[in-house]
Amino acid sequence: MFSRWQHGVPNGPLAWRFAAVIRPVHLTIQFVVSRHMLSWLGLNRSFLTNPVTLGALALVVIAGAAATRANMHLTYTCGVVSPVVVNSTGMDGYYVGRYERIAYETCGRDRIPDNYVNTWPLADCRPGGRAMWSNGNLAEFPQVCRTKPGNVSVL
Amino acid sequence: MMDTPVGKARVAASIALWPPPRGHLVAFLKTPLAWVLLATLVGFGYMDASVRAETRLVCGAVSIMIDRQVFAGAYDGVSPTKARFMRACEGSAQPDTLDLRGGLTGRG
Repeated sequence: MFSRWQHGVPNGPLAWRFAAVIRPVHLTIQFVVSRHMLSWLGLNRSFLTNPVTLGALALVVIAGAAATRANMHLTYTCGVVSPVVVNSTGMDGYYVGRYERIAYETCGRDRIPDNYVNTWPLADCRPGGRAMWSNGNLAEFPQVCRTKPGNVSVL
Repeated sequence: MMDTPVGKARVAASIALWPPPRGHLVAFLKTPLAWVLLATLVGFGYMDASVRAETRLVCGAVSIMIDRQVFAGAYDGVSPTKARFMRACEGSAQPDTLDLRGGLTGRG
């Protein structure tokens, strides 16, 4: 009996094992690069000319543009906020509160400009915590971590 | 008018274009790419909402910070950087104590 690999292809258990592995991979690659894959996904003429497809595509483009714009606006806002937060630390009577940390953590180090990212004032409101800079150094200004809601009962 | 061939053609064309026949929607939903499109749409919507919420959070936090600093006497007016911040945060929270036109509101 002649095997399928008789003509110029090494025969034996190893070759059969190789064929058993490579054949499904080869078929998968053939399927992906052929039109069958695109057709299975639905990318054909009737899909592309379907008015529902065109409407969905338009909505995706609009939603993507809105999300990108919102993302850029947040980056811009963080950039604009940075000098307001950082430059005020040298003023008389300045103290750091909880909100600097909220802004810092919400913006993240990626959105804060490089010249402000290590000089952001932060409060450490845990017991025994002290005011610090975002690079970890202790700061000279005080921190105020208000836990009391104030005179709410009057209102 | 409706009995003329032109009128009939107009009515037929409008029916064919809008609303899309149910067959189009079913054919669309049967393809995997349609679900990819819908998932992308939901993902963009989620991203947009979460980023807008983060922007509102940043604006609110810095506005409260400014109000407290004004109350403590550290700030006494609107500098160009603060004006830029207030313009960027239009539609979100604004400092209660500062007026974009250049001064304190007196509400601190």
